[in-house]
Amino acid sequence: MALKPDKSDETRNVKHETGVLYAVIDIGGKQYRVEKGDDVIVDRLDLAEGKTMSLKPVLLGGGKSAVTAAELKGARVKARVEEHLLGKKIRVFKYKPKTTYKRTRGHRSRLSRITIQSIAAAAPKKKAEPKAEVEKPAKLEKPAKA
Amino acid sequence: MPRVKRSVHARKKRRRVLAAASGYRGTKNSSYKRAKEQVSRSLMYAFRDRRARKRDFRRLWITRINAAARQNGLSYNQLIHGLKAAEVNLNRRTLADLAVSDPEMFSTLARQAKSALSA
Repeated sequence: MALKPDKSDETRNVKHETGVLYAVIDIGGKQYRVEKGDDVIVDRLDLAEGKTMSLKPVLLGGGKSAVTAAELKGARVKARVEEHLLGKKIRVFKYKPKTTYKRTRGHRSRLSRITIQSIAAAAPKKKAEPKAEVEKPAKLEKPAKA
Repeated sequence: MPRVKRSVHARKKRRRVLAAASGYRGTKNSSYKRAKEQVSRSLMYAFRDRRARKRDFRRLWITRINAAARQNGLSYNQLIHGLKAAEVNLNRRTLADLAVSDPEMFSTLARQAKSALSA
């Protein structure tokens, strides 16, 4: 599943497989539902290409769910910045009648493409070893590491 | 100053406008004057509606969330208030998506909201 850079609003209702661990992450004030191996196009990040980052998810779902801030404690999503790119070209045209005001400007959004490397669920409070169950549910589909 | 002949550039200018107006109705796709008016208007609509789109979608999401919330015995208003109280930081876009793609998760969220409301 790859979200298109433009009109990302409309591409929300993508078919998702059920039972696959997913996370909702917040990047640049926008939220994205991601699974392991997904490519997501987000607003330009202040990170070099190839760098990885660790994000706190706002929600975990698919199999086990974690919803509140307390349940999400310790959960992490790791993502790598694959490339920086430009969105589709937009022609910005402003015009006011009767005042000879006319402006044409081009615009291309600055975007970044990231790949989700892993989604780690938070460990239940009682269990002492969070690592054991961390990456198991995401193993279903391995990402092609570009 | 060398003399500039207008023909090539004038044609090019008109061709560009008419190409942008292809598919328009009536004389707007063939008459340069009508096409030009319509193209500038269309670009203005595009500018305006790129902004309007953000509002349109928010409204649509709210409608969808409301429908899903009511299936779970809450109104939209109560759900949002409850989620805030439960410290769930999902935006409306995500909630609307979950309502369709993962109804179970949405029910979980609704339960969280309910318990946060009664607490």
